[in-house]
Amino acid sequence: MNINEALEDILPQVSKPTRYIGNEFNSVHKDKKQIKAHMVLAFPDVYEVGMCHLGIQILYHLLNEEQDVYAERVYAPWIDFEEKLREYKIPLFSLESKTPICEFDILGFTLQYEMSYSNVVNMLELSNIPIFSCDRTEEHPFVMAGGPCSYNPEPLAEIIDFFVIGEAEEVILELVELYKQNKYEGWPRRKFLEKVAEISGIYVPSLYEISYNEDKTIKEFIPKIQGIPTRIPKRIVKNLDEAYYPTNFIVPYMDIVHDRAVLEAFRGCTHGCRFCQAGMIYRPVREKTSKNLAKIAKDIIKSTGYGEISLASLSTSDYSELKQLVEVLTDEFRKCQVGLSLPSLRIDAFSLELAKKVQEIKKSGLTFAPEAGTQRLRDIINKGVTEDDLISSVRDAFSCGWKTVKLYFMIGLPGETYEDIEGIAKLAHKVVDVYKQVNGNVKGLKVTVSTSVFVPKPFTPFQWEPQLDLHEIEERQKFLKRLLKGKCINYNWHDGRLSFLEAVFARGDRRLNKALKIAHEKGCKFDGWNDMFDFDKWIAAFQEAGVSPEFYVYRKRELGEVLPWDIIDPGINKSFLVSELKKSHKGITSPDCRNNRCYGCGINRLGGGICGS
Amino acid sequence: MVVRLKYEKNDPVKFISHLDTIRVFERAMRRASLPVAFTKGFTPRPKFSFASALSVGITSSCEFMDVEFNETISVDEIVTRLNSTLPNGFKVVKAGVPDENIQLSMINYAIYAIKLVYEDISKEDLENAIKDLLDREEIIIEKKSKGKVKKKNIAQNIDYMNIRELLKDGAMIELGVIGQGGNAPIVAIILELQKIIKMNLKIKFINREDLFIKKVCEIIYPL
Repeated sequence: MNINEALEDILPQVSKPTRYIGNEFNSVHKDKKQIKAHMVLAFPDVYEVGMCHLGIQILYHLLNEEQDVYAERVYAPWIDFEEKLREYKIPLFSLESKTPICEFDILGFTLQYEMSYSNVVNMLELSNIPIFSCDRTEEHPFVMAGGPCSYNPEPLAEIIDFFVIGEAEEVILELVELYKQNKYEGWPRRKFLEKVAEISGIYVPSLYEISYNEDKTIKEFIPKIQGIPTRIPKRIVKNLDEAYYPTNFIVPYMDIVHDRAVLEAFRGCTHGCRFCQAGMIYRPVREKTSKNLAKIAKDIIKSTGYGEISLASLSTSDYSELKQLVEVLTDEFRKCQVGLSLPSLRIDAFSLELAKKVQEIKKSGLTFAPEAGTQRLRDIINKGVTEDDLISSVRDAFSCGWKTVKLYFMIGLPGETYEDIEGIAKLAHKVVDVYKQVNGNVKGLKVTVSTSVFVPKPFTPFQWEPQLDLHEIEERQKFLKRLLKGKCINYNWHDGRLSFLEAVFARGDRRLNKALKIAHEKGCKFDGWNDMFDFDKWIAAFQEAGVSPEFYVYRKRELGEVLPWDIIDPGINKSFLVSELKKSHKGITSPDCRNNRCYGCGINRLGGGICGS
Repeated sequence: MVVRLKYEKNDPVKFISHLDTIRVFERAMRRASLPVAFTKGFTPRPKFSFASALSVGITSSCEFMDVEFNETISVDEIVTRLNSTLPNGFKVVKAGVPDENIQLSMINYAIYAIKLVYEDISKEDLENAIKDLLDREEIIIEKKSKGKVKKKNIAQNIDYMNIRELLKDGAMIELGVIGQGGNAPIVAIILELQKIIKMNLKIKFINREDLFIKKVCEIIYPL
């Protein structure tokens, strides 16, 4: 049975069939006969999550602008659809042309979170592609990966053929050119891998041997051939304002998680929060001009018909032309009922005037992320926000009629005590008090406190720190729950076991590949979905693979240890991370380096950023 | 001004739900720069009203919606502009200013064409099975909603059923549905037919062909 016929049968039997039909407005359809390189961009989660990802939209349209290149998409099939694929013996296929994934030239995964790794493996299996690189032959696609998790590629090093480090739109066309040459000249698989390793920003793990010390830490990375780098530098777009940006976003039929057009204002962040990987790896800060953004926004709405457009960046209020942009956009879109949303507003720079402007069209809740409950701990993590900042912003917001406030915190930060947990509750109650002062009562007020669990991440000053013991995390969550009483306060917390697993893979090494395969065989998938996550299966998988998850999660690394991600050069100096770690131990902050302070992170040698100008 | 649109929902978009369809039209109208009127309030919505929702998996050559515009605009222009911005599979076939007395909520009748594929069933057997089905006082359909199973007798909703055409590998069936805005659990009805005939009937496609208001001795077309 061919795929289209099978789909006629299968689709009426599954939930949300729209996930698998493709044919969305602005999706690209090409004649496969005219194509020299056929790529499929894969997001290892379900459609409505994956469709929100900006990176794939950029790469998709960038690649499809090339006449002889065809980029399609695939998402992780939901459980019911996967069962049907297996029952009908249909391989995983692309959304656009319904081509089996195994027939593509290149399969590219984006790795946005560690909890999607089991889906990567599952999708390979559903595609009939061998899970380990070493088992693939000339008849299989090359399997590549990119995205933030690629900054520690090792837990997938035996599964992914090569990784793109940094911003893929800078590299991908170079890569495709090389692929075309490979196809034309009929290179053996290994030759292409050796050649692709010469492209700056590409890491081919099979070309590196790793030796270990007796204490199981890494001794060294040894390149197996000459001419490949000993460290892989990340690639970045130097001039973001001139960089390619699509306006013809694919418009889904179904309601996806963030169903709106995305306007990327800038990349990078200078605040230097010590827990934040994004704040480190996406440096330097590069902005687009508001003039350019206004034009792009107009074109996107014209091309997509979206009723909402959202600014995208790590910290919206840091955008230097924010005021002008918001004014232009709200004027432009008032008539056609397009709402503007400004996520990631920082409280210290929170501008009420802006929020009011946005409110003119659509009103949404306010979100603040103090991250820690006391000033002492906020200083340790370098979150440059004070309680006064928060309280005065909240007061202003309540005065303007806001009723819903979300407060985000982390539990298990290095140096955290029970006083800091109490601080979270105190802060939440203060917010309630402010509302009472403003409105005289608590009618309509909703304060949501959410705590995630701190996971130490590569290329952050806390990359050497252990994660807090799982039982202790659960104790602290319970403790906070008891303190957060009151009908207008809600408390949400993350499953600590999930964060434990995230911590394993975030700082794991090559020995985890085997565990991942075993976990997949035991049925682990969609680990980020609470109802799908099976912690016991994972623990059994680690045991069978002979690896200790505690080794990765609870061990404090020596500063001199060779870390699995040392093979990657993110442009940030290790000495900077060490100095930030030491400052954190003393509770010394490093205020935003945007204002003529330089802490020597080293990123300005890459050029393009605001600190180079 | 209020404009009534008659549109098709064809094979490529038959799995799109009713809610998704509303979004499709909102976005297509914005792409076409049509001056759609919006509701006031917390979350403004386009002023659309639809005839009965079409079940997922069914195509239709006859769907209706009313749209309110802030400005006067020629109906031909609306058709042309919308058809250039609607996704492949949707097509507006007609537009006009509706008679105020004929509201979409009054629609109570639909005609469906169903292609059945089967082996070794004679025309007589199929005809007899259909007759059996139509003669029944009760056709109980189980409907699951919110975890509960509800039973419903839909015998009164089937107005007629006949064989329109015999095909090489099956037959084209025509079904008239009365009440419930022209909606009926077609797949369940065919399943009942299958139970009577005791042979496998495979539904190849279901298409809603017509949608109108049926009164005692009069048929009113919405557009």
